[in-house]
Amino acid sequence: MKLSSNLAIQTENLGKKYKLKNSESWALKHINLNIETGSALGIIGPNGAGKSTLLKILSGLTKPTTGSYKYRGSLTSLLEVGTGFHPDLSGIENIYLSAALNGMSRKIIRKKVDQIIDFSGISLEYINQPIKHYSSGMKVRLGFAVAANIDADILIVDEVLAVGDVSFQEKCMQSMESQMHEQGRTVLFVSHNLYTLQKLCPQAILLYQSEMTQLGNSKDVCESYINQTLDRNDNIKLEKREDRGGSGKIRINKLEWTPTLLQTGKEATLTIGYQAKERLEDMNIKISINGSDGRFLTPLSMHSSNFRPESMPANGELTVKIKNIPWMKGTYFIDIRVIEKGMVCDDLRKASKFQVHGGTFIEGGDEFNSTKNGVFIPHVWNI
Amino acid sequence: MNKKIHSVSSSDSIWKFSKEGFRRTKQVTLAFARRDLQLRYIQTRLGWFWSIGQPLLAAILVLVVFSWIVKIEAPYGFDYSIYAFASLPAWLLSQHIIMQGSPSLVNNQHIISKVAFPRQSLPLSKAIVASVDYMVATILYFLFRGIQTGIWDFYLISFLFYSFITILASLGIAYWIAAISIRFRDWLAILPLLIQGLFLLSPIVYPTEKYSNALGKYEWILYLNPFVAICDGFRWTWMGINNWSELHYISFLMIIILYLSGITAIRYTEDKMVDTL
Repeated sequence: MKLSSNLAIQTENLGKKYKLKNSESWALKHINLNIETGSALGIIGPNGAGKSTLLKILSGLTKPTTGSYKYRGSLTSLLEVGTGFHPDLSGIENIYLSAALNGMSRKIIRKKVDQIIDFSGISLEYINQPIKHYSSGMKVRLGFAVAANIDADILIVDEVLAVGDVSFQEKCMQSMESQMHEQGRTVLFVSHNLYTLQKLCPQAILLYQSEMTQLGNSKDVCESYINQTLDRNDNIKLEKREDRGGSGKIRINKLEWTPTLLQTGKEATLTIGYQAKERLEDMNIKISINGSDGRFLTPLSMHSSNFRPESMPANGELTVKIKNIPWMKGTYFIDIRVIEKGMVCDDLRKASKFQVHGGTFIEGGDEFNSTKNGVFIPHVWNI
Repeated sequence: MNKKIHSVSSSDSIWKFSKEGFRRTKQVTLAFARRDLQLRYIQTRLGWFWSIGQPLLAAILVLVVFSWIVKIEAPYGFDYSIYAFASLPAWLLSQHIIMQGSPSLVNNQHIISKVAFPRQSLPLSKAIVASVDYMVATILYFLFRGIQTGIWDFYLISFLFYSFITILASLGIAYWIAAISIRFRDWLAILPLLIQGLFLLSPIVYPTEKYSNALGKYEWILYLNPFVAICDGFRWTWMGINNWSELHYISFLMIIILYLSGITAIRYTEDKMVDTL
């Protein structure tokens, strides 16, 4: 068996076919990958694109229909936190069980068990209790602690980091990052959290409809992914939308963000295109940014930022630059209203939808994780 | 960089064995066995008492039903209890492996779909747990026979051999049902019936010589049951009863066939398991 010395994993024409009731479908096709030892590769793609299938094949859960792959050293996949945990067994017994299932020998577990308990932060009076008496947070922490201390040359991680409380997640990320850098471990990482993925993996691949459509710098790959998933047709739709209010004298026909990958704290520009029959005077555009629950969050208006051009061309574009995106990770909607000489000319609700992909608002701070939409404001803490 | 290179291909045969695979089987089997032993101690109020209680209760039942009610008599003038109990520990061992091993894949499907490990580890781990009980039952029988008859001899090699083939045969059956039940759960529903049938058809509580009463020259059909060899083997080990005939070869052969075909079945389904479950 040959595998050039700098590679950790090499796949050749990997494919997987599933037989459905009356038909067949390819869940994965033509995957050719060379992953270098010590690198971290992110895997992105919409649901059903074949991400899990690829992970299942590489972790040995299922056999490929076509092709083959080679890997160097030991390989462990973490597709779940706390695999094999049994509610009636104590914390320590569960550590031994789960770690053994994930490929650790008893000797190594014995050596690492204190470290794992320490990492989980579970007190000694609890660690000998059956885990059915644990809170769900404690169970997750124990599972993470086992996962973070797994000893393998190649680690395959599936979104497991997406659960648990934030500070603990951060701890796991750090532990994973340091293991990668110090021990030359190779990591494959699948996640919908593009921010985490970019932070951990310099390179990424994009899977789309069972095939690998892009391999490269993870920032680029993330951007093409967003372009793909966000309604690409939003702008076309915008022109054709008829559920508008106002007189109809002016029509908004374009709402577009650059860059496409929006991150909290980063710069972004919103381009607004409009169309009318004649030159416009005393025009005002009012935009509301609403959260995914429809809650009003942020106003953006020409007049309120004291931008009052006297006359505007009949067709044109305006841009709004936001230096630091203040919105937290999540989905947002734009409502837009155009007013000329005090008359509402166009009024579009939910004109566009966009996604902010996490990040830090204040340089060097932690990412503030919440499932709710919210707005950051600049502020300073003092002692 | 002299770490081992592993390779997986769509054309791999199910018979691809590796040292790594063997190590992993051992590791996971022991982990599951340990889990089951720990759970037994935690979940049942009487814990380890059942290792003693279960064979005792089974023995009393056999004695009451087959000696007192049905009045079966042991051949060659042996005491019935010593005759029937000789193969009872082996039967309990087998019953345990089949009962626990067969549904073990379906019962652990959440683990199976998340972690890759050789699937035969699960039924195999049940065999380890069952073997612990088997040791206890065997010691009980050894003491019982000693006290009743004053015979304290013990043929270790013969004992180990027949214990081993008991485990092989039961694992073969458990592998088969475990593999099939991934697709067809109904096999688990008829499992109790299957075990009952096996118990009644095996010469555990009655002598093998009774077989000839039933089918005459088609007697050999009954020797397709692996338990004929096992039961007579244990009576030979414990009591020196020598009733071997050519027909017993069928029974021995069946044990080998069962085990080999069983492990083939489970390895065959292994690659498809995650997709089917």
